[in-house]
Amino acid sequence: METLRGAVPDALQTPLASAEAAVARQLGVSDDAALAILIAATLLAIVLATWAVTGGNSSGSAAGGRKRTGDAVVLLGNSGSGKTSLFYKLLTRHFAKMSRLADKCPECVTSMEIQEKRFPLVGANVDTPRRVIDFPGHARLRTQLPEVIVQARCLVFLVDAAAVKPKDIREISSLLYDVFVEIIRSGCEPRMLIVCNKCEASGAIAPEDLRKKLEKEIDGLKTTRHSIDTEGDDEMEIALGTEGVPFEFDSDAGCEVEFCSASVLEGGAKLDPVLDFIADAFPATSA
Amino acid sequence: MLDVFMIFSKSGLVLFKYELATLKGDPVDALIRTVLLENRSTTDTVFKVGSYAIKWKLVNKYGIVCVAVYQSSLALTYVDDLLENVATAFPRAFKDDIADATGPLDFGTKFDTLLFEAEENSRRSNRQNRAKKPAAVKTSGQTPENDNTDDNDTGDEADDDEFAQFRSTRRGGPRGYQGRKSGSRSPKSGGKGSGNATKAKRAWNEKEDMTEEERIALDVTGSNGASADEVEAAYLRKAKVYLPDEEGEMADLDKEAAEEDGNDDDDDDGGWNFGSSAVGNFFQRLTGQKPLTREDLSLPIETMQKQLQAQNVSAVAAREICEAVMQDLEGQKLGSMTRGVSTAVRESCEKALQRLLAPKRSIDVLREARAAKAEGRPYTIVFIGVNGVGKSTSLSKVCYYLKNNGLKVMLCACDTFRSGAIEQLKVHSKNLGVPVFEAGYNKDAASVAVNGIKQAKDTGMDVVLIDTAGRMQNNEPLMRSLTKLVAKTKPDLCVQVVEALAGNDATDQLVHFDKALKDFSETTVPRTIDGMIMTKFDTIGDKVGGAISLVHATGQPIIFVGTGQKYTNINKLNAKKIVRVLLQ
Repeated sequence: METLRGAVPDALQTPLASAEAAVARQLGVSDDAALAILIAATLLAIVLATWAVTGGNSSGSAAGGRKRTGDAVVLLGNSGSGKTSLFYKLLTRHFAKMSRLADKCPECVTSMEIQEKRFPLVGANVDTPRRVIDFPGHARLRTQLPEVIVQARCLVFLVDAAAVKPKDIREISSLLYDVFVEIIRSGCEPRMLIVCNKCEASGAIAPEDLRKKLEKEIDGLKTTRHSIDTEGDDEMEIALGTEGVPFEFDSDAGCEVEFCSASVLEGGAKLDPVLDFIADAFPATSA
Repeated sequence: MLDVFMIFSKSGLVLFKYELATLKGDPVDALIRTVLLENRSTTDTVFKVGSYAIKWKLVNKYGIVCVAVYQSSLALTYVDDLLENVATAFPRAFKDDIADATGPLDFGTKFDTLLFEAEENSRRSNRQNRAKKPAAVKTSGQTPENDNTDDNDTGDEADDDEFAQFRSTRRGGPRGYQGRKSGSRSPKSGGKGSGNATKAKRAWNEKEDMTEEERIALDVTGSNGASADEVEAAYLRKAKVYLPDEEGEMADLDKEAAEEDGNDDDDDDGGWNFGSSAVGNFFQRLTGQKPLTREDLSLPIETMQKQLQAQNVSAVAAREICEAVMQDLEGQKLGSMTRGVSTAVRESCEKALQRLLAPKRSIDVLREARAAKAEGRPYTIVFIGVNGVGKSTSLSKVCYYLKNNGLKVMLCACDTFRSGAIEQLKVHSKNLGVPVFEAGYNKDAASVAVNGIKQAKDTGMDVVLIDTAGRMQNNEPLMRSLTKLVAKTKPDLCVQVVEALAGNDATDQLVHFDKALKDFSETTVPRTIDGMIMTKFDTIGDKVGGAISLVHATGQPIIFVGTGQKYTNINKLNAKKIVRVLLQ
């Protein structure tokens, strides 16, 4: 044990001795054992600290200030739009490629938790594993939106193209509005793809029509959202677009927005627009 | 009969589905949306939707939910046992697969056994209740597998290799685990325990003539490709049912099981596993790698509960929020040296409160009203509440707000009871420059409201605000007439006005009004309260806990808060501020 002690620089001897005594008292072990414990603890601390710095969350978007986006693919949308299905579709494509089986779309129910996994995205021409986050659509979880937005490299916003009654459009635009406000607040610039999912269903809306409907509805939201003050609010509320000018995705969304039509269920070529979009979000140089 | 049994992960993937009948609609999604996501699972054990009854069990450690759906007209007594058994058997079989699953897991064979066994048990106890004739056991209504699964524990077939293997594994930890489980469960229900004892006795008596079939049973399960683990667990479950408690054997197996149990959580520590020695514990605690136990959490959570209650959060709400925090954190690791247990509790509590306050439906009244206008019909809001909480004042504030945003508003005086009520409303209408519909005192409030809405439609009004007479929540005749009014007018929004000053009494009012609207309703889908307006919010200072109790009581949002005497003193609730004040 004395050799161990000798290895410690002189300057640290006094604090070491007192810490050692404290450990010895606490655990009721001998001084020598306490020294061993202390050294082990120090080493452990160093290892953990290194792990926390390197292996921990590497999104570093808002904190760093230089990078304006995170590194994850974030799946958004209202309940029942097909986020979880898409998540597993992307995941099984990876396994399907390895095992030469067809990719599948497992049965899903309403999600209750944010789910995050890191896996290679087959079809999006990248070999590096990417983080994919599935954000549940239920309104109760919407308070967690900010923490997800800052992690996003790209946002895939799914819409059930077969359910676009006025009430559905109101709900979709509510969520979109929250997302846009959060994007502006965070200062991040992820790209967004709005997917008219379930395009195989009868009565599925075309992307252009959806765009018009959403723009109109979000324009309405611009006035109603801030028509009443929040009690004791000290934060500036962020408004979308310019007052009096109709809302447009191209100028007022706070990020680049594209539209497409796809089918998660059928997959194949009908999923390509989504995969191409994700591939574009990760240029080869950044891999 | 059970219609559907499902196991799914909290992230939404269906891990197993047993489907005997196709479900109409989406009862499971309804369960998730209205019960599981609301954190309200502690009070109810059965969820009824349409003609279905649903029971469920959460396994937090693995983030999975087991759900059983059946026709609510059937009283299925075995569902609880089945859920309990599946909830232990499924994670045991797929402990390592759950997190990486990409589709259904192969649980079918085992589930069939568990289901059959649960059904058989309930049938057996039914029969026992009816007549105590042992001979009746093997008579009626038994499916082919029946004989196979019966009496699997006789254990005279040691010459069969497979069987011998099962026997030997059974002597190890798992059986001890089962023994311990049943031991700890039996005190919960004394009646069930005594039932088990008699059942077990019969099983022993019958064993002689069953050996051949039993061997076949084992062959079948083995050849079906079920994993040894799986078969073993199914086997053990039977053992639990049939075997009497053998004190000596159980005792030392218990120890093993306890150890296995204790180590479960530490398995994925990634190399820094020091075991469960004192030194190991010390390190794990120091580095935040030790999973939090109920004991670690109980003190900080108790402190949190007291703090919430000191800020006027009702005892029930505080307890349930803290229970949710406990469930969230139990078994988690702090993951860093600097993050203390109390910080973790605080963070989890903050999340729980924010989730509670987040409205689950749109509370943008102006937008809803405009949408109704676009559909060419007036948007109707009914204001209800006890006497003197500020119904008419709130109504006039909402009127001012909507009128200022370009909507044509009409007031409807349905307080035909209190002298001066109509005049009070007329004063508001004059001040605000909006028409008021009235039919004098002592009239039937419901028909006044209906006529008012009709007139509003005829005169092209966009919004009708209906004022009702104040009433105490325990006055049954008045609550009945209110239910009638709500049923007849079919309002777009039914708001209860409550006073912030009333503290927990406000919660009581809300709960009773909501219940009355449910109980006295003559329709199958009763119209209940959609949201609250909390008046006199400027008078309570930091005691904002009442807002939490209110939202917790029904799960409905607080749409507006009243913050003064002027028409303009109406605001949205500031959820962030409330959470901040509560946790400061």
